Amino acid sequence: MLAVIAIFAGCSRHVTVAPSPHLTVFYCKAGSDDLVRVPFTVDSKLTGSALATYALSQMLAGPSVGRDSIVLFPAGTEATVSTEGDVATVDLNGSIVRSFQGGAGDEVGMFKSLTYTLTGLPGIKSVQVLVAGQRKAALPGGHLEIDEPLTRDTFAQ
Amino acid sequence: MMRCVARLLVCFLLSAWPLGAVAQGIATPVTRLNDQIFVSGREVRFEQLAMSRGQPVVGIDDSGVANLLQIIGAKMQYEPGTRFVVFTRADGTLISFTVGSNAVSVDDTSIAIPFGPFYEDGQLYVPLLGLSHALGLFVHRFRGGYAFAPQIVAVQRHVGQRRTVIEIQATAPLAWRSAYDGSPKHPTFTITFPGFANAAGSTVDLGGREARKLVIQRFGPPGFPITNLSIDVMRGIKLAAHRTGSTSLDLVLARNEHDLALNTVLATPSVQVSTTPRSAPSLVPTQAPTPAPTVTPQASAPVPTAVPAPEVTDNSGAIASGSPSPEASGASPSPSPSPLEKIMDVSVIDSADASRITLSLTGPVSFEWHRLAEPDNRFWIDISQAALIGPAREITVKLATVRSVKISQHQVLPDHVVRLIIDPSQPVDVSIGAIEGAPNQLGIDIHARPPPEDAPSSGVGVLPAVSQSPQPRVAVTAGPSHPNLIVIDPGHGGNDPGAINQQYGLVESHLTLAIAQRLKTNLERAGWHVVLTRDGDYEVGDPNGNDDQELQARCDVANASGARLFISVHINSSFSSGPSGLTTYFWRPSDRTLAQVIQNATARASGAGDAGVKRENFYVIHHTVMPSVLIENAYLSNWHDATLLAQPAFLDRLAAGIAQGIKDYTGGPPAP
Repeated sequence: MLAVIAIFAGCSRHVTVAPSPHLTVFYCKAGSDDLVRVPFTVDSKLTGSALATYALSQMLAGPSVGRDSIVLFPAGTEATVSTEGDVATVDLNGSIVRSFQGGAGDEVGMFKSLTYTLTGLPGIKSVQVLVAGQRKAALPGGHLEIDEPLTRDTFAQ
Repeated sequence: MMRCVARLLVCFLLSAWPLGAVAQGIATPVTRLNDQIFVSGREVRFEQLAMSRGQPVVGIDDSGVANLLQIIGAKMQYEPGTRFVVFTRADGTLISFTVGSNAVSVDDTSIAIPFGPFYEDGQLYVPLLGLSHALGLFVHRFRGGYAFAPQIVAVQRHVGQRRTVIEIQATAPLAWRSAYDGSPKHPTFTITFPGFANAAGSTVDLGGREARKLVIQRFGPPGFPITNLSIDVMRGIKLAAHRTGSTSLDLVLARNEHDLALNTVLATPSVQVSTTPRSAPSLVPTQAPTPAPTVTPQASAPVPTAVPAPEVTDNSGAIASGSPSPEASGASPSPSPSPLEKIMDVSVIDSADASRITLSLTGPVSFEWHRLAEPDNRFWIDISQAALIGPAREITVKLATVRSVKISQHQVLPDHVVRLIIDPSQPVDVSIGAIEGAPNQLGIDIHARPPPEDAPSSGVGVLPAVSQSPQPRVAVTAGPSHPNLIVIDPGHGGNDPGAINQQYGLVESHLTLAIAQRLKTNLERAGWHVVLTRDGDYEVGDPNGNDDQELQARCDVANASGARLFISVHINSSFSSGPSGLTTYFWRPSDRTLAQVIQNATARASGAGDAGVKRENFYVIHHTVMPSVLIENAYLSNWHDATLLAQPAFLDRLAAGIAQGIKDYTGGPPAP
């Protein structure tokens, strides 16, 4: 999986032509509901699950600057994403599914940024989160309900 | 061998019980005792608990005895009028008491006790402590009561050619969780047995090939002991846990996956852990009368397992209390509980302005219903002594004003209750009644129209055995069934510590409990009744259950109680050290005011920063049926907040603030 992410991350450095509609990765500021938009330019050939995988890899990596105030996925988090119809399915593995020991605020920030980023991709309206391949009510040790697909409305105040 | 160890342990425990006056065949003074009894952390109520000759005794047909036995998976055989009371422990150990005899037989060993069962006013009493010890329970005496817990009684090591097997034996059906800490220097497997005390020693040398040693430690409060087995393994060693019986478990440690299966002959036991003989056990073998030679399980009085809902296969005797049915015991002096009926099917018929939900039952039932006032509007029906066949599920109705209808096995102890919840977006009129010409069919009509203004808020009804006419229409505006009760949920606990601040040694699950206990005191002082979802460091739900079940278990406690409010207490944390302050979360728009009022009062009283109220779909505030909020009391990850959280006085202020918020919102508990 990491290899896959590395490959796609590598792709981004070689983009020289055909800038497609920009991909926007949303990061969440810790302790707030504020999102930070970080634009990326990607190869126009990157679509569907491949584009979602690229976006997810950037989410897991975190922004290159200003990281101190950004909610990051816990170290050791692994994730894959596939798209079908208007749903992006993200399967979480690694440290995050053993026990989430972050707070509720970061947990919301993580899923909010994930949802905003993936639903910003063409045609994607919701994000179904799986925990080690299965639908779960919440992350182990978590708070937020994730058994149903998340949409931007999920996070509406 | 394992059974032998367990039996010796029982002998030792029994002998440690102080010998008192021996009374046989004389009038015995019995005075009522109001002590509380907890079994594995759950309160068990006894109606015939009494004191006799300085020892607690209990009436043999008390439902508390049946509930105690059910929790630990044991069974009782007693024919009224006979001299023998025989118990079968979950591990198969036979325990036989004889009326008037100061000896109890545990399998083939006879052991002296201060006094045996005796009749008084036609009621047979058994000594509670003697029974508990014979059942292999750890006994903790506290002011005002006793707490009993089953025990891990033996841990044995077997060494094979390519694996190490650790056999574990307990006195009640085992429930456990396992965790792995993959630290490069000290990889460790931890097996946790919530609700079990330890009587199996403290360490076992595991030789050093697959693992170095095993350490057994007891944690938790005496009322709810938790036993942990930590196995210090070599790198690359895998562990598999195999249940070998309801009370026994084999842990297999091996390097290769295929050696983890339990399909090969084990080597001879090489190490055995035994209890430390503190003093020579003063066993007093007596001429115990031989019990009835064969003990057959009561076929018609099954003892259901504890939560979750047992598979109901027989509606004639599968009552929650596990009491023998009159047919089984030959005679029953106490009224028999109503039988359990099954809900076999749930169907829906939609029309333009109403939806009818039909529950197909196996017999008559009684129910109660409640409706919340605007803006909540939810309506729920609790059907007593009913078992839902199939899983909890959502029922789809086409009425536009109904957001959802859910049905679930809401409760199995002390009674089976099935709950159906209607969640409308605006007030709807609901009628409940028997369906004409269709016996054992309970109809629930949801109308699009609002209920009449003078409609009551709750009521009861019955589905008669054979019904020809529908029940009078019921509908209304409602309130909780216990308007003076508040449920507080200390977040996390047991194997889920929540967030941790290593520097200050602060653990979220400990802090949430500390705040919840303070809040409970505050609210009780103000006249509220309070239920905590947990009062120690343990999981609320089935410790073998998954995390989803754990969250639902907390909701179940609140929903079963009919409480007015649900308050979940948490501590926040962030990857970043920047965020600080309090946040109160709500989910239903109708709970925003409650959240804001509590947030204001808590921020004011505690002096912590006010990070505002937020709306998020947190599981426990979504799946509780009463007004619910979740408070994140400051950040463990923030230096200033952590400094505050380390001070008991700050926890006092948080609790006082939340209590003030509840007072501001409710105006206080209703007058009695």
